[in-house]
Amino acid sequence: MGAEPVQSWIQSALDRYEASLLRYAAGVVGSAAAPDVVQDTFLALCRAEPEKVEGHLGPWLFVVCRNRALELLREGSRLRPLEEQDVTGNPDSEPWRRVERQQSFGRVQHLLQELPDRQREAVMLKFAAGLSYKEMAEVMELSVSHVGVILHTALTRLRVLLAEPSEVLGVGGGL
Amino acid sequence: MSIAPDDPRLTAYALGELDPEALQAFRAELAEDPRARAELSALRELGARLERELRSEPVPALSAAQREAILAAVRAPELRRRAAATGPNHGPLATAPGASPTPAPGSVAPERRLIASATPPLRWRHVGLWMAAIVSMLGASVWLLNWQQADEQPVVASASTETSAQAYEVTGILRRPTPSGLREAVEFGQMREPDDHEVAGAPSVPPTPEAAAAPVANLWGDAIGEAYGSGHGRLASKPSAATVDPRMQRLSEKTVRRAEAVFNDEQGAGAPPGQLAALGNREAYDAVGDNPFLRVATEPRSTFSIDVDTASYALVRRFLSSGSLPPRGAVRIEELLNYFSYRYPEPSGDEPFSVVANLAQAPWAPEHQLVRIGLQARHVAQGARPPANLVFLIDVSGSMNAPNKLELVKYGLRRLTESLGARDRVAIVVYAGASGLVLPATAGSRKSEIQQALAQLEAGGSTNGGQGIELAYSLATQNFIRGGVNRVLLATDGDFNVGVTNQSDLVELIQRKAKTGVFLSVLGFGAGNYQDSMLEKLADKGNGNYAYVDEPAEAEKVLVEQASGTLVTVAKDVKLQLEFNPAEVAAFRLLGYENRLLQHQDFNDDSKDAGEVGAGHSVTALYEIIPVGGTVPSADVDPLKYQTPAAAPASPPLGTAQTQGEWLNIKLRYQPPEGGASRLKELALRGPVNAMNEDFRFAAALAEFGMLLRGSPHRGQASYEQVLQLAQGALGDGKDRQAREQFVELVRSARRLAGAEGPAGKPRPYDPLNGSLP
Repeated sequence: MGAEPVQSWIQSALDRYEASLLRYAAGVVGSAAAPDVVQDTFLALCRAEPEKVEGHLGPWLFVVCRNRALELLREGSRLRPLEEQDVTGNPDSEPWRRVERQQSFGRVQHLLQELPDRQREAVMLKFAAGLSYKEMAEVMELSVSHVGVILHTALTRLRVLLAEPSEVLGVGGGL
Repeated sequence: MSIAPDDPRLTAYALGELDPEALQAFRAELAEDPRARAELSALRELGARLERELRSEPVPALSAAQREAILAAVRAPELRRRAAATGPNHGPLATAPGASPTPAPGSVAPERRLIASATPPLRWRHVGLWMAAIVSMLGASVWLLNWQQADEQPVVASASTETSAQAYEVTGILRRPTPSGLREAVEFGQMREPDDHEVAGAPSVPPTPEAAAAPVANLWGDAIGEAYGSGHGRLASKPSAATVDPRMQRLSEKTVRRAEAVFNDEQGAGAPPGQLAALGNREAYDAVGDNPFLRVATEPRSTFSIDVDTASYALVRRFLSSGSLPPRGAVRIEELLNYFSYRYPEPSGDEPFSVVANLAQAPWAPEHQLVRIGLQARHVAQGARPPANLVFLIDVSGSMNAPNKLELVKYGLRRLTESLGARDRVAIVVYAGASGLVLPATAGSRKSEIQQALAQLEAGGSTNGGQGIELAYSLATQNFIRGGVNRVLLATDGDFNVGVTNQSDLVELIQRKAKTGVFLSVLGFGAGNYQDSMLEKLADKGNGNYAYVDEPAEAEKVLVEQASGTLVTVAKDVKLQLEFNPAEVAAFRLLGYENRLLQHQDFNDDSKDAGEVGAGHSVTALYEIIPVGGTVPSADVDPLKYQTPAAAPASPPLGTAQTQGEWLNIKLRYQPPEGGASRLKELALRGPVNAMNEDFRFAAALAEFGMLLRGSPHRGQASYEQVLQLAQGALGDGKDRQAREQFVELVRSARRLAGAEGPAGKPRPYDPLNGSLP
């Protein structure tokens, strides 16, 4: 395959999945490390043979992204020095910046943190990334019916949380 | 029979995910269950809300460098196949998992190892090419040329000329809409059932035979083209050094470390890791060699333009505090010196500035002396500042989308706005894919309007700097205030990638605009694809000053504390010419100002542009001199064939009683800010060598630090220990004491980092960024 078509193929994959992969990765490793995970994911795509990916590009990317993110979490101890650098050298860590960032968090995003990992992951894959149940099953390595149960439980829980006044942000109201 | 609230079919149905077989039955149940129908609509609503909110949640975008890295990696599979085919000891290629749709968790790592091990045997001459190939695979984009080495130059230089056109093409391809067939293929794949494994075997695009047939030599050449072109060709016309910000480029750094391992194996000598890591990024720094010692007998004069830029200091700080030594090209001694203010005497009367000169022993070369020339521009009190007509020209391209870029720009300009009054005018122009006017000229007293306009800025799109500059200057000209401050403040990371992107075109545009009487301030932001050399040039040619803003405190310093210096110019085209007295001085060397040197005849030529000095700025220049009788290091040129160079004259030709004891004569020429005939100041330095005062010691510490970071051949006995000693004894109690304390910390970091590479102060081993062998 010539470089040109591959490049446009990768480019269109980037256009389509960059944002949702970043959101998904941020949910696992935090927003600071998410771009690295996603970069790794696309680099893996560059090396993959297109025939092997064709037909399930979305799930393929999320699987690689997920594995890479989990790998990064396992490397936890090796990551720490980088985080320390972030604290000292990054204006991100300046108080004024931190406040702005906290304010930008929407309520739903915040409530997601209350969900168990699997439920949160299912919500992100479904609503942020737009995967089908079948694709989610591939990514999460579960059966389709199991995915359905997890997602339903997650939504039910979210409805309860939304109906309660939020302690953290002091905002109430349901749907 | 009713549907239980925890029945997952509810959600599945709400999201259109229920099996076709189950659908019929569920609908029947639903028809008889109003409570379940209510559940259903609540679930639908929640789903829509989640989709809306989660998809609009801002995410940490991939940096432009990361995107480029990915796109540059596209050719990697070809390289890999080729390398594996020619290399002797390589196992089967690790590919993404075959029929299984689930790649193994470690699939990324083995592939990279393969790249690192697929090294064909390389001789020295090929190492550069090989590294370029690695770099292009994994995303480095700035390639730098080994131009000091005659041996290497032709090879690389020809590659770069051949591929500069190609670089444009590559970019063109990326920006062109996706060929519809391919787009469809991708879309189609998405719509199909994911467990459709028969798709896995079907090739989507046939392999091109010419790719397989390309000779290996071309392959390496192409790789260089990509590396050089994708990061560099569009912007800089000159080879540059580059470096990596470990926070942003963790991956590339890892890669480069592997490249270093290969490199070291080939060389048998350690390459400095920090410097090599440089390859993994799009930042561009022009490396300029240190000024050499000049013999007074043949070259008695030294002429240069004043420079009040401070960017280099903040850049060095950014590198050191993120754990790597800065690339040489980013270290400019004059900018380190001028980052700090010194207690030079305030000018008297109407004079725009005062000039002082001192002489002391050079700390790093006790047999040499150090001359310090200090200029102090008059201060302008905040209230006495003339009315200002400011145009904020803000880069809102995608690459600015980072907390330390656009957010910091907004913060800094918001703070600047706070100090403006009713007589001042502010307009805001943004540029990205298209340029636009965000705020027409607005009185400085209408702060909320200005600040609201700033707050609404968002980053996105590519960068057409040229158009934005045109618009900004035309606004500044329309609202020109006679006798006032007329200035365009350009805030960018310098990553101009659309429109007028040729560096010399942009510089020419700025040069033309500078004639309108509008001054320019360049505020550099960000890391990852920072274009230092470009921004310095723009400020230099645009009657401007240049600061790098790496943190909110720096924004405060440049835009609030030193606002009058940044905004109000007290003299322009300030040039210095020194003449050394051969009776006292055998040779001299100017520290820093390497890219500010002027032709001697330009000193009296008012049409030749030079640096501007802002209110309250102090400017410092240091010369290292070898007194008569000292050993002058041999020049880099071959001896003359037809004449013997004049040795130090036995008796000074023009030595009179009047000039006896004079070391040198300083002439200074400047124009008033509004232009007109230049004025001349003159001052002779005479008298004994004194001990350094506090400020002089601090300046010497900065210069010595700069020489160490630059690996200057003239650093003599310089060491980080000595820098620390000098600086710690010169913290003073002035307003920049805190900044001086911070400098001491930076020196400690540098010592630690340099210690990791080799004994402090020792010459570095081969430095591939600058191409000079020890």
